[in-house]
Amino acid sequence: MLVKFGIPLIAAIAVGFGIATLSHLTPKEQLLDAPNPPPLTRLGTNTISGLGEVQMAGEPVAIATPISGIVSKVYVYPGQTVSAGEPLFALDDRALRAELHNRTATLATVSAKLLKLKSGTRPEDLPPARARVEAATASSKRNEDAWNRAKLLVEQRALSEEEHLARKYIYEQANAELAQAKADLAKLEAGTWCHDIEIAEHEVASAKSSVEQVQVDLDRLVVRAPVDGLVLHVDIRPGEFAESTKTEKPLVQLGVHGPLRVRVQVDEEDASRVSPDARAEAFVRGRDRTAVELRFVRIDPRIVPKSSLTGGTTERVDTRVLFVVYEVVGVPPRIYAGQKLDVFMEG
Amino acid sequence: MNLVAFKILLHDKAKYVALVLGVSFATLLISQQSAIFHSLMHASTRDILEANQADIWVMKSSVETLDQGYPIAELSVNRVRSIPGVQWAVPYYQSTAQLRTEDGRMKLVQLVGIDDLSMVGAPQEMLIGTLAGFHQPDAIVMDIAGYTNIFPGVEPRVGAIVEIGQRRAVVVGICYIGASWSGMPRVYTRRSLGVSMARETLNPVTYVLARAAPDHSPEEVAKQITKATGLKARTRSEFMDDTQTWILKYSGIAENFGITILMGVVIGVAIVGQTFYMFSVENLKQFATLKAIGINNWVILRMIMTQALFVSTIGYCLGIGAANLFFAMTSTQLSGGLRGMFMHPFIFVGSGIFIVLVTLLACVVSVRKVLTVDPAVVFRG
Repeated sequence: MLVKFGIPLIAAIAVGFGIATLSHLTPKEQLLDAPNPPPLTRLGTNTISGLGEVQMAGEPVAIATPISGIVSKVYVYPGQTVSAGEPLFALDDRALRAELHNRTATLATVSAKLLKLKSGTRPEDLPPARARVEAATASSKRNEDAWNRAKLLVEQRALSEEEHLARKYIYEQANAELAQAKADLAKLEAGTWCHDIEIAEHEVASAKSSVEQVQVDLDRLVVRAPVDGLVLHVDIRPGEFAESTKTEKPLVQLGVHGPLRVRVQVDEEDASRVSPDARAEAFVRGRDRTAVELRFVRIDPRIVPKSSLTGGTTERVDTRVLFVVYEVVGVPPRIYAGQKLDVFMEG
Repeated sequence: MNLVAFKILLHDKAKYVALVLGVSFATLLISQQSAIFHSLMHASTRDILEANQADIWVMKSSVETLDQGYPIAELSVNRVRSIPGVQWAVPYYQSTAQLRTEDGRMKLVQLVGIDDLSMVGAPQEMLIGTLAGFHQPDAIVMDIAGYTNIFPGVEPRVGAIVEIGQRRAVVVGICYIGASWSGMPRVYTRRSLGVSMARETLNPVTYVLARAAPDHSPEEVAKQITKATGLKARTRSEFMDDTQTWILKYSGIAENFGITILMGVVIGVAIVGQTFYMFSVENLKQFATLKAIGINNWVILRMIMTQALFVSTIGYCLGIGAANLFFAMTSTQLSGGLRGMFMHPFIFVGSGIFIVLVTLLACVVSVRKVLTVDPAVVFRG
C-alpha cells in the first residue's frame, strides 16, 4: 500500500511544490516606469536637446583692481544691487594721503611766491631810493658849483689847473651817481618783471597738477561699479592683498540686470538642425523639474571645443559645441545664474 | 489489461523504487544543471535586468558586452534625446572602484552611478532605507551580499562609513541584487558622485539609457539612434543577447555546463534504459504467459508503454520536485553565489518531455525481447 499509493502521492506533492516554487522564483520580466521620470517636452517628438546654463542678461562683468594693494574696505555683498559709479571696494590709501599732503604744501608755497611777485615793489623801499636820488642831486649841484668856481679862479690864475680838473671829475662822478640813484628808483617804481611772474605761474600750475595726480591715484584706490547690476560674487575681504596682475579669479563679479538668459550647448552634429524660429523650453534639474519657457536671442556664430560641464571632472575635449542663447520668458521660477538646465528645442 | 500492467510493475517493489529513483535522479541532474546554467547566463545581464525602466541601451560602438562599458561624451545623452521617437534618455555610469573600510580592508567593488534625477537603474528591491537616501551627501546603497562580504558578521544596517576612491561614502541603504557575472559587491550611487569615486578623468557616461515613445518600437528607435549618432544602440533584449553570446564565446561556461548536462542525459538514459531492460527481461515469464493465453503483441506493447509512462512521470515529478527544492533553499538566500537562481518554465516542462521520451525510447529498445519471446518458455519450467 505504501509503495502503491505512497510514491504517486509523494510525486504529486513534489511536482506541485515544483510548480509553486517555479512561479514564485521566476523573475517577472516587465518594463517599469522610472522612479522620477525625466522631463517630457511638450514640443513634440522631433526635438534637439542641449545642456543649458543660466546666465544674467549680459555677460558677467569680472572686476579687477587697477593698483595692487591691501584692501581696506569692501562696500558690497553678494546679491546686492548696485548702480554705476557706486564703490565696490577700497584699497589702503595712507601712503597716497601723505603724498597728497606734501604736494598740497608745495602748491601753497609756490602760490604764495606768485602772489608776492604779483603785488610788486614793497612801498617802504621807495622813500630811501628817492632820498638817495635827492642826496645825489644835491651832491651833483654842490660839485657843479665848486667846478664853476674853479673855472673862474683858473682864469684869474688864482687856482692851479690841476685843482680845476680835479673838481671837474668830482662833478662828473656825482652826476653818474645821480643817474644810478635815479635808475634804481625807476626800477623800484616799475615793479616785478613780467617774465618772473610767468615762471611763477608755471610753477603753480605744475604743483597743482601734481596734487591732482595724487587725487586721481587716490580715486583709483576706490573700485567702482562700471554698470548697474547685481553683485554675483565677492572674493575679497578687508586686509587681503588684491593683485592687479591676477585676472583669472575676479575679485568681484557683477551681473547685468534684466531677464535671465540660458546659454545652451548643442553638439556640433546637431548644429545644422538648430533654427532661430524654433520654440524651446528648459527643465530645471531638480526634483520638481519646473519647465521654463524660452525666447530665442541669438546663435553664437562660432563652434567651440566643449568645456567641462559636469562638475569636478576634466572632460576630454572630443566634441565641439554650438552655443545658442535664449532668454527666459515671463517671471522665472526660482532659478539662479549658473544653474544647469535640460533644454529642448524644436528640430 | 492496464491493471495487469500495474500489477506486474508493482509486484517487485524494490525494482519499482529503483526505476523511479533512477528516472528522478536523471531528471534532477538534467533540470538542475540546465537551470543553473540558464540562471548564470541570466545573471550575466544583471545591470540590464536591474535597469528595467529603459528599453534601449546606447554605447560606444566598440562595446560588445555589458561589463565592457566604455566612457562616452556626456553630450551623447542630449544627442540621443534629440532623436525622434525617444521618450527620454538618461546617463548611466558603471565602473569598478577600490573600497576601503574604516579598519583598512580593501575590496574591489562594482560601482553603478545612476542618473541623479530620474533614478533610472536604481535598485528594485530595497531591504533597508529608501531611494530618497540617494540624495544625502556621499550616499551609497550597497547590496546585501556585498555588505556581508565587506562586513562579515555585522548585522546589516545603514550608517557605515567607507572610503571609495579616496572619497568618503556613507551606506544609506541596503538592497537585494541577484547574483551577477563578476560576483563583486555592488555599490549604487548618484552618477555625479560615482564619477568622482571612480577617480574618473575621462567622460563620465558609460551608457545612455533610453525609452522609446509609446507609439514607437524600440528596435526602430535603436536603429535610428545608431544611424544618427554613430553610437551603438541596442534594445534591452538585444543587448542581453549580445552579453550572453559574448560570455558563451569567451568563457568556458557553455562547455562546462554542456558536459554536465550531457552527463546527466547519458547517466539518465543509461540508468532508465538499463533498469527497464532488466525489468522487462525479468518479467519475461509473465509476458510469455500473457502471450500464451492469446494476448497479442500490440496489447503487450501498450502495457509496457503504460508502465514506462507511469514510471517516468512519477520519476520526473519526484526529480523536478527535488530540483525545485534545491532552488527554493538556495535561491531565497540574500547572499551567496546561488541567490536569485531559478528554473525557467521551459526547463521545467522541457526536462519532463525529455525524460519521458528517453524512458519510452529505452523501453522500446528493451521491449524487442518481449515481443519476440516464445510463449513456450512458460512451459519449460
